[in-house]
Amino acid sequence: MTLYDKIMAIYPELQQQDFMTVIMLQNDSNGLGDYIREWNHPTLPRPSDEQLAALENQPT
Amino acid sequence: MSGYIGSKRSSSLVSATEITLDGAKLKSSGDSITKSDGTTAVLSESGGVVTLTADKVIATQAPVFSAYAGTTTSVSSNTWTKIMMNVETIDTNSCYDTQTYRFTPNVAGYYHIEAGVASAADGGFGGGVVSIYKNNIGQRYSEKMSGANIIDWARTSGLIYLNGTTDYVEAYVSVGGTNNPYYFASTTLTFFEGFLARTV
Repeated sequence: MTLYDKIMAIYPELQQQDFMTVIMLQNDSNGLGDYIREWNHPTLPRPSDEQLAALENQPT
Repeated sequence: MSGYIGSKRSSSLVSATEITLDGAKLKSSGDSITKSDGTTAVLSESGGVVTLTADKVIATQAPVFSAYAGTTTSVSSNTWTKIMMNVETIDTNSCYDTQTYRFTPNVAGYYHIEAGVASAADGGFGGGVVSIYKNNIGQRYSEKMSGANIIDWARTSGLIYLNGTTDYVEAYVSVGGTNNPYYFASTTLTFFEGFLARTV
């Protein structure tokens, strides 16, 4: 399950365009994986590490 | 504007009485010559350091690079991912790194940089967009493609100032897809290139 999939599982109301405007996920192709570069959503709080970790073993 | 050629501690030049450059002799601080290639070189000394400075960078010294993605690569949906432009075809000044996919020019100035990417997904393709990053911050973005086609090709370019020492540029892509979004290996569609347009 990718970081994007986890965030969508937590906030299914998010739209694809949100990831072009108020949320920025990034991967620097250095083996360290995806991360939240910016979270500026006006109403939804940034997911906690605990929320994301809880979805770690979910199927994609 | 001046371009730096090099310097040496005067101790290593104590025995030297002059520097010969392009057939002309520079003996004292402030001496200058106009070389056959059109540049002017000036000799100066300060604090025991002798410096030879050129007034401009000629075209044959201007950095030019071109690289492309040699491997089709899966990415996470809607995640800005550095494109692994791992095959270089031009790198005049050895400023492009095929391990970090980063161009760090050694001459300060305004650079024309261009990036293109072909992307797709095995299902639910949502289109692709490409961006040129300077020092890990997006500078130029392509149009967000619709994803209505089987494959999208996005392209962007811009004039970006790079300081010739620490500034660098990279290409990033964001691809939408519900099943295995990816960008293509392609010499003609997924590329990253640029050149020095002029010095400052």
